[in-house]
Amino acid sequence: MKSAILRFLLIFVCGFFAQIAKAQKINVTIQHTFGNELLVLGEEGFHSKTDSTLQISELKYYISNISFYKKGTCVFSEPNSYRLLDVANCNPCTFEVTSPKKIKYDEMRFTLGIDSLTNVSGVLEGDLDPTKGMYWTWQSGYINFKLEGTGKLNDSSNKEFQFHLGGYLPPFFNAQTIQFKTKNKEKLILGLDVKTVLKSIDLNKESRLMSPSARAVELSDVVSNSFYQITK
Amino acid sequence: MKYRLILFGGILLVVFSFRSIVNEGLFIPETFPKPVYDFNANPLNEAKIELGRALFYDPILSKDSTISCASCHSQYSAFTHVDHNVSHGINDKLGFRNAPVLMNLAWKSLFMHDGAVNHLDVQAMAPITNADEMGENLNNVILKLQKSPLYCQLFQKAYGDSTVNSGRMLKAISQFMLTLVSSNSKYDSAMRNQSQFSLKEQKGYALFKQHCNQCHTEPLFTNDAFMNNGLAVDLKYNDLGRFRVTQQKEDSLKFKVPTLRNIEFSYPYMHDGRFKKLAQVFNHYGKVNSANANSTLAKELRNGIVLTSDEKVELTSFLLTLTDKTFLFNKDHSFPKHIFLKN
Repeated sequence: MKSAILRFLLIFVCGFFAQIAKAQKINVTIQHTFGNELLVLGEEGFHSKTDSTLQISELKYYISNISFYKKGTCVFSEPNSYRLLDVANCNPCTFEVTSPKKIKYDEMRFTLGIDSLTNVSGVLEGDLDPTKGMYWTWQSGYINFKLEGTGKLNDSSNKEFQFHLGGYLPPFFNAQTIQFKTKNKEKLILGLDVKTVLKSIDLNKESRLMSPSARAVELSDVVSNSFYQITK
Repeated sequence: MKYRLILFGGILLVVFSFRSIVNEGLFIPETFPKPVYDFNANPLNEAKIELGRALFYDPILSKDSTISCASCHSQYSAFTHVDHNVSHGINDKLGFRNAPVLMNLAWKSLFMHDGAVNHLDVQAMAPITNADEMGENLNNVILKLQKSPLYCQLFQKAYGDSTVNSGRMLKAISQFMLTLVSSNSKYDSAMRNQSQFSLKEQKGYALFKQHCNQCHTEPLFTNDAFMNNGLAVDLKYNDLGRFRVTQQKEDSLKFKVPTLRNIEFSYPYMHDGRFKKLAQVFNHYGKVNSANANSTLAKELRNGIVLTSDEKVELTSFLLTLTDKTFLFNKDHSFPKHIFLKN
């Protein structure tokens, strides 16, 4: 009896280590900048050296559905793939994606934001917990991307801006798919330049966006195009 | 002997652990369709219902501990607000809509008059965080609950440990709300052949089926859709209803069709509580037509619903058969004295 249990345990443990040996970890880093300046959101927020009137106080967003492709075919799609990146807590932000099997890939894809099904699934845990400040309580749904701060106006006064991008219902479905051709590396490094995002906005005309809309979809598109690859 | 003991212990454990599980069937009347709410994701349990009931009646959820869910959703009025046309919040602030009745919520797919909330489990966050209602923030609510000896006990009982988080809190509130099922009105017993309509009620029922049932569909007395019933936009609130959520022109002035169950006690009526009496509602439906209403008017109302005064009396007597006293006075739904006044 005892030896049977032991044998079973041994097989189990061996299997476990065999699995680990086969598993592949891919380390993903995302670096957030304003032009060439690294965004450091201290207590006072980030103050730009090149643009003295710009201050950024908050940059938070969801990336989800991370997957890897080889010649257009999906080789690994991370289950339960939801991450909230808060630049107040990390910059660069690094996380690991673990595939149970070794994979070869030439492309990485992920979604900026949260899919519709998750948006209608009630109250969730972890990074999707509504207390993370990325959930609209008066109109259900996740905020995919949040950027707040103050910036210069034409008359050179400063204006507070708050851009909360989200929406899961057509025609204002907000989440965007981002894809990069990559080398088959264990470390991928990406960048997000907030300057490109802010350049597309005239703060004199708009400084607040807090519900799903066509403009929010446009801006999410701008944000997703402001990601770039640094991996060498 | 040893084995027997273990077996006995095992059986005891199984029996004990099932003791608090509640049969959802109790809250799903046979005559109702399949619920929308996924009970498998949040199986009903006595201790969780009890926790949810405490939270529902506790002003601790509001910023200054003055307003509870029950402040605007009181049992004797089918869980709505009787005296007020719109909801009242902390510091005497006013909302901009009539608090809806709470019953048979497992059959609703979207919540609020405009469907802004998409799941029962996230519903309670809206009034808790609304500045004109409970004005609180979620993290603060969780902190307050974590410090409370009462909730330490109630969360422990409900979840096996005293951890408070948003999911546990909100799902417990859902559990209590899911028990608010109204299916024992005279109408229900007539349908079950346990009692009979009077002649007047019978005539009223025929009128109901002819004029009202398309939208206030039996047995829930709502089709759960958004419709424009021809009310002129309220100049004070300029509330365009479903449009607010979808931003689509065709949704302008559409509001969720409310249930008519317990309508005797759920006045005032309409999303802004503009009508205090059923007679006013009948008058409105008598006057509305496609010539005097916005283009999104429900097609069922193109010619209005014109009733004679006898017919109004008959229809009223039918609507009164939707009153469910076993629901309105059910002690399991009322302020939980045994929790709050224990000491």
